[in-house]
Amino acid sequence: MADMSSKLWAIVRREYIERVRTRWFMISTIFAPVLFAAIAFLPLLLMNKDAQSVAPRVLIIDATQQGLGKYVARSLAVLRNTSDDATTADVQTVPYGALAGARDDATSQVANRLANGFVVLDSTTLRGEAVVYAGRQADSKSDRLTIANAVRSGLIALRLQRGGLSAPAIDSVVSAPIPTVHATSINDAGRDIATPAKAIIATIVAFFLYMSILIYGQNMLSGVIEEKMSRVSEIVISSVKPEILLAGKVIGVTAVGLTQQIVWVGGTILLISARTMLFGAPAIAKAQAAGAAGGFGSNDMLAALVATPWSWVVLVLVFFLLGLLFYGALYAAVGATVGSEQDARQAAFPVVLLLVLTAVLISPTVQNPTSRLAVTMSMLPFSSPIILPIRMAITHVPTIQVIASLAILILSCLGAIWLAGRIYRVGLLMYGKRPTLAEVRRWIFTS
Amino acid sequence: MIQNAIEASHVNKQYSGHVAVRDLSLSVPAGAVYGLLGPNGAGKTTTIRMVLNIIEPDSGTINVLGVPATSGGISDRIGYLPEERGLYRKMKVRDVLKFLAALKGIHAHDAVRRIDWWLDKLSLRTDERDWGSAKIEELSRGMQQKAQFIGALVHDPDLMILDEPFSGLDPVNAQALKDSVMDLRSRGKTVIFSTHIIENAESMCDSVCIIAHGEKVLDGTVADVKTKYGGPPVEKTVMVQPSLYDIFLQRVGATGVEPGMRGHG
Repeated sequence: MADMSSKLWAIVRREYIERVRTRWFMISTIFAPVLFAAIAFLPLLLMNKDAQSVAPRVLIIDATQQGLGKYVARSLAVLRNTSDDATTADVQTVPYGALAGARDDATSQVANRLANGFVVLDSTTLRGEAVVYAGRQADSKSDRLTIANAVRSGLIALRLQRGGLSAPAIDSVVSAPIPTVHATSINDAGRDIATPAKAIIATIVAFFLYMSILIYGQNMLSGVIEEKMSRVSEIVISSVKPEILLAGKVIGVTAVGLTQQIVWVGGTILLISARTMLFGAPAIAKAQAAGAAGGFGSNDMLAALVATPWSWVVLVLVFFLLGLLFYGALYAAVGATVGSEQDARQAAFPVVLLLVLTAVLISPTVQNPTSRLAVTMSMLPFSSPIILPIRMAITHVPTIQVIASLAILILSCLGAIWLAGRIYRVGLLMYGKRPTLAEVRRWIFTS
Repeated sequence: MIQNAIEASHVNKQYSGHVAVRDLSLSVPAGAVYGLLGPNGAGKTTTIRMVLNIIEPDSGTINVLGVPATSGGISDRIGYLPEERGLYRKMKVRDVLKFLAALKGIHAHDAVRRIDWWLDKLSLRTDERDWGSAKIEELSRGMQQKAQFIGALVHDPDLMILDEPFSGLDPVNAQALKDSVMDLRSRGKTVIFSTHIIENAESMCDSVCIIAHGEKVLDGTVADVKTKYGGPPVEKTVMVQPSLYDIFLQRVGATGVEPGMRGHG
């Protein structure tokens, strides 16, 4: 006998190739990483635009006669995370009387895009009262904050100089690096909740998982119906057992879904790593520094995406795979009981309901990943493939819960495949009216 | 060499509420063309499905090619053309046939050679066009049926089961199918076909079994059946014009595809 595994392989292969070849698969596979990358890049693009307002060159007009300008330039460089202060700020020391002329000159340079802005340091600045900043995007809050911080650091340095501190000591004070802030929020219950960036990423991933399972489930359903209605299934099950056909279909469809997910994850990683090429290292570093300093909240997204641990990605794929197996088997069982696409829509309703219920729970889970509801839903097989990855993205999930959830899901998959196999065996040969629930029960429990 | 390709003994099959097959016993001689005759709903398809082990009988035994129908592996030696036909519409003819061959344990390379041979034989590959690389949905109904027929015998089965093979076929394609069936018999293969068109059975079958309401009415070789149930021979002399069917075959030919035929012909 040509061994069963080669026949199973033939079925898996057909299911896989025929689905991967479709235009829909190609488009959706390419589209998702682009969307993901766009979400990650959008803040960077905005940031980049924003950054340019201070970035390439700021003129510092120093009318203090005390050398404040050079300290401000130095600390501006530190704040922007660049080592070379000459590229970002030009210090122009002017006597107080020439200030007006210097300002006019600086204004025309900004107008002609030779500089992005200028800072005027004068006696009021020395007293720590005010500093004038004019530039292309002077209304940028983050820019104003950066300038104010730079000037304050400059003033500290100047005062230390007056106090007799040596030049290297002053420099080490001014160049003290800005640390990255690892923020953890605490809610009313005293537990950590999602940072906005993590929450958005978790929601998007959950949404994609939901969509994938729904789409591939429906895909499975219409595949089974096509086979049944065209009577191809009758030819196939004259060669292999119905259970083998079912297994082949479920494995094939799952493999297609997995391929897509891998391309999505791989493509997203690739595009994100290509960001240095697209935007240049300084912009990224600046964006990350700014993100860490809290100046640009939206950029946390990129940081969070980059910081996503591999273990999580692998677990998401594992859960997705099992989820697809579970729902694939259920959809196949539904497909075997019906005689037309119209009937299928009705018959598949309970299965769709399980998925929709899970989708509805995405948002509450993101908001409170340790709630009893979220924990319960991350254990139930119909929702765990989507809910558990969300929880893991946002909060620390105890290992025992992950293992329990996986075990339940695997057992449920086996159960679903067994159940579907029983229904499939009989249902494929039943044409005409839809069976009643009692009839389906009889298919399952009588040999 | 086994004497009977199929041996069924006291087979019963009941579906919820009605009896599909009742105490059916029959023997299909190896190397014969065997007709399973009966009106619609007589239990022909159920019988065929039990022979194919798609469904199991409630009681009784069925041996196929010398082994129980339920034994694995025997399916690789059986070809099957179900009553209602269809194939994966979006797939290319050659890919579908390769898939069906793989299900019978034929390797891809070998399958391609066999498929091309059959495509040529049934005029699905001509100098004009190779329908093997067309999608199923691009084929005319007759062509689809021929493609499915190839799928049923691409693995060169010892037993061929055709469920209502002539339904929906035009005379040209029906003749091509009949030629292929006779060709199989000449190579020692057993062919079973179910039909409710008795004329076809009489012209092709060596033996027949007539069933009605799930029960066997009679069986035996065509000659035996005629002798036993037909009464004494009656001499009739009838002058007839050639039938329309004869004229059709004469004018259009029995090669399968008419010259210039394309797609949904």
